This record gives sequence, C-alpha cells and structure tokens, in this order.
Amino acid sequence: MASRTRGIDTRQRLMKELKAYNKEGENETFLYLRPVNDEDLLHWEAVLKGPAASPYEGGLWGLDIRIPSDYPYAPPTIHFTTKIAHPNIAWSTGEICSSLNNDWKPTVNLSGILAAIQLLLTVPDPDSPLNPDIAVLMRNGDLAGWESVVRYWTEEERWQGVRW
Amino acid sequence: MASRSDSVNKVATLWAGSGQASNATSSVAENVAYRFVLDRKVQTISSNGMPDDGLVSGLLFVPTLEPHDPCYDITASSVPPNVTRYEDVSDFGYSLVGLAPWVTAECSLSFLSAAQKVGTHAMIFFQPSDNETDIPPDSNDSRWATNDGDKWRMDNNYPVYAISGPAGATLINDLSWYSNKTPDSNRDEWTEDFALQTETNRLFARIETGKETEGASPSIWSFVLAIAGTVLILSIILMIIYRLVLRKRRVQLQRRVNAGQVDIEALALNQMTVPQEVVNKMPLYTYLEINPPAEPTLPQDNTSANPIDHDSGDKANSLPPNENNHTQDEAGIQKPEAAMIKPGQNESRRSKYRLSHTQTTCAICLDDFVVGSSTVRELPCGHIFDPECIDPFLTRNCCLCPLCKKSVLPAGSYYISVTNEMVNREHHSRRP
Repeated sequence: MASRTRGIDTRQRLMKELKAYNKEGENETFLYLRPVNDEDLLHWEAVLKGPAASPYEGGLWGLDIRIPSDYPYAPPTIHFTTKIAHPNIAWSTGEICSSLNNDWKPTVNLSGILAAIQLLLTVPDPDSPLNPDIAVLMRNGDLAGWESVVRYWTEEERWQGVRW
Repeated sequence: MASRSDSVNKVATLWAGSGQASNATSSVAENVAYRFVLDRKVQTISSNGMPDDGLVSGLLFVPTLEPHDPCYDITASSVPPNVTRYEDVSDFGYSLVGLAPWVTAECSLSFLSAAQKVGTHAMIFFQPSDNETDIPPDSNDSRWATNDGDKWRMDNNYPVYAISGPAGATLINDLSWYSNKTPDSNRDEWTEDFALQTETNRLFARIETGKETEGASPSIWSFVLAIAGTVLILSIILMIIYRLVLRKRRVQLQRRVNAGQVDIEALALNQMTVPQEVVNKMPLYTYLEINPPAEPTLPQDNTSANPIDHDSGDKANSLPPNENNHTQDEAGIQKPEAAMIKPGQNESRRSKYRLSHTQTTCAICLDDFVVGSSTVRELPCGHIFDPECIDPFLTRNCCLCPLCKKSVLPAGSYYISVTNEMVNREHHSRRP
C-alpha cells in the first residue's frame, strides 16, 4: 500500500478493477473495458453499448479513457472515438459534457462512469449542448426528427471493431 | 447698502440684479433710514466697463442736461426740479451712479454724454411710460434702440442698467428729498432732526449683478445639482440598507452552517477540505475489534442506529442477506438492517448493528479488510475506509463521505465564511 500522504496505489486499484471486469464478462453497459496495452495501465479503451428502449439502442461506440495518476481521487478523462449524435457530446472531438465529473467520488469506478455515460444517452440535456445541431432539434420539440437522426447515426457510425 | 462716513449718512438704495442679493443680504438688512430694494428686477442693457464681480455702487444723481438742449424740456415731466444733481454729490468723493428717464433715444444719449462728462461709474434708465413693475426688457429690445446703433455702448465706458418705470419714478422722486434743495414749503412738515439729516444724506446705489452669462443658468444648475445630489444620497442610503440586509443574512446563514443545520452539498461546499486535526479525531481502530463500550447501549439506541443503516442501504442491499443474523438477541431489534451483515465475517452479535460491520472492503482501494489486522478509519456517518485511502481524500479533495456524501465535519467546525452567493443558493435550495 502506498504511503499515507500519497494515498492509495492507483495501479493496484486499476488491476483490481480490471480483474473484476474480466470476471464479470458480458453485461448491459459495455462490450469490453480494458487497458489499451500491457505497458500503460493509465490508458484504457472501452466499447459502450446503446441503452435499451432509446434511439441509441443497438449502437456501439468506442471510448478512449485516460486515467490521471491520482485516480481514484480525480476522475478519468473519457471521450468518444466513434461519432455519436448527442446534444451533450461533441460531434468532432467526442468530448463529453463535463457535468459527469462534478459528481465524481473515489468510490466510483470505471464501469460506474461508463454506466453514467450510458445513462446520459437516455437523458440528454439540450440546454448545455456540445452538439448544438442535435440540441436544437430537441429544443424545438422535433423529437421525431431528433430520434430519426440519432437512429441514423447510431447505425451509420456503429463501432466496427472485433471483440478481442 | 452703506453707512459710509460722517459726511454721507445711512441712506441708501439698492438693486440686486440677477438674483444675487435679497433682503437677507447683510448689507440690505442694515438699519438705514431709506431702503429701496429691487430684487432680481434690474436689467443690464450695457455691460461696458462692468467690474468682474458685477458690483457697482455710488451716490445717485441725475445728470444735468445743457439748458438749451430740447431734451431738457422733453424729460422735465419725469425729473423733479429739485432732484439730486451732480453738484449735490460731487463733494463727497464717492463714485457716482446716474439715474435718468428714457424718454427718447436722443435724450437718453444726451443724458449718457452728460453723465460721461462728470465721470459717472454707471447709469440707470427707466421708462416713465412703462407701467410694468417686472424686470425691464433686455438689452436687445427695440425700446432701448438708438439711432446710432450700438455706438453709444462703445462711447460710454460704464455699465448701463434699466429698472422698471414705476420703480424709476419712485426713485427719482425720492431722490428729490435727499438733495439739499428741499423746498422751504415742505420743511415745515419735517422734524428738525430729519431736516438736519437731509443736509448730508444722499441716496447710495448698490447694484449687484452676476456675470452676463450666468444670468439665468445658476438656478438651472443648482436645480440639476439638487436632483443629482438627492439621487446620490438616496442611492447611498439604499446601498447601505441593501448591504445591511445582506450582512444580516450572511450572519444568519453562518450561524446555521456552524450549527450544522444546512445541507453542505446544496451550498456547493463539497470542495471544502478537512483539516488534518479533524481527521485525526475520527475513530481509528482495528477492523472488528471495536469499542466494546458502545455495544450495550446500541440496542436501546435504535433511533440513532436506524438512520445510519438507511444511509448505507444502496450498498448494503447489494450484499447477500444472512439468515444467521436473525437469531437470538434482545427483543424488538430484529430489523431488516440486521440482514446487511455479511456472512462469513466473524463478527460478534453484540455489535452487528454497527454500520461499519456491513463493510468488508475499502471502497477506495477495493482491498478487503482483514479481520484483526486492518486498521480502519470510521467517519461520523459510520462508513469505514483504510486511513491511507480516506485521509488524503478528506484533507485534499472533499469533506463529504465518498459513499453517502454526508459531511464529515462536526457541527460548528465549518472553516468557511459565508458569501452572498451562498446565501442566494441556500435560499433557492430551500424552495421546493
């Protein structure tokens, strides 16, 4: 265990998380969640599943996860590597609305934050948009238009990788 | 107004032009035998040679026209025969102010040149035909026009004023009483004292005007200034009241924060960290070898134990229930929370109501606690962590429990000063 001033050992905790995810296997939130390579435990990738009963259902999106050295005291930085049409996710960069980080606690883990992102897909907030083009559809009440656009891009941009 | 010297006594007249003097002016209020005040009813029709301070004074006299001048007859009706003349005032050594009726332009020019000849300091005209008692028309009015255009203003190097017709008539009439040429017939009616006075008494004119341009503007400016001043004072008062109200609210909120009655998270105070000495005061003990003294009191202390257990409900519910816990114990405490205790942990029944016993893993490093060897830190909410995990978090990141978000700061130890923004936020958070 790390020294008292340093806090806990980030890598040890990440290894525990990784072990738990490998053990858990298939789930509703992500296809996989793992370090990009064996050398760097602070750089992870994941494939998020679209939440059921939403226009995003059936979608798959790649996520890039950067973990700070003082994790879990500080939240990881996550962005989409697959394009997604969502008011709170930037189309070009995949940046996610920062409100996710405001509720960060060290007891949240990576799968927890992926669940939070999945939840964000079902409850978009068009009032603080990172993708104004999509947000304006919602704001104008054109929910049918918004849904069809989301379904189109969910299908069109679906993550095409292979599972291992 | 003046009592000047032994040779000239206590008699004066005064014009205050353009609102500079009033009866409250000390010189006006002075006790004199004769006083004639024309407040704000003097018109300057030529400011030529006017002193900078706009103050002109001198003994009043009526300029004497040449006997062969036709104006002598024309103006005779407006000028009493025994009026004060230059000879009557020249001996006193004072500056002089001429007074004459404006009957025709030619005669006025004659008066002006006659006054110029004896070195007058100013000239006052009135129009005998004018019955208006208000301020006479200004210098551009056609009534003051002469045939030579404005040449007379240049030729006569002294200021020229105008007063109303009735005022001028009164004054020139009175001037005849102080001329040392009083007819004998009138003397009979006078007391001896007064007769003696008239020997040396002369009318003294004092004309105060502001600068030409300041004629009307000072009142407008003072009006504007008064409004601006009122607005300023009002806004200062309002500002002071507003600040006092804000201060009162801050003090109230500070009191409530210190008393622990405020939802710290709603105030966005979760960025607040915990001082090391407060962290050090939180219980630190070896896992499961805990304070036996707490145990006998707990069964009676359901009220305090229940909320703690409910707070951990989300986590505790995920743990498998343990049938073994529903066993023998004091009556009436077989509550659902007993089911939270994880099986296999060799905890004693006596302390199973403690929330800390439902936790087997440090939620930060995800390490399992080892019975009898792990040292744990218990937060006031009952959640336990490895001290090396929770202490840096509390001292560097946040004062809220990472699991239940309850503040770990004891009431009265909030090291913050309340701001207005916090008052507003708290106010809104209390609204439904």
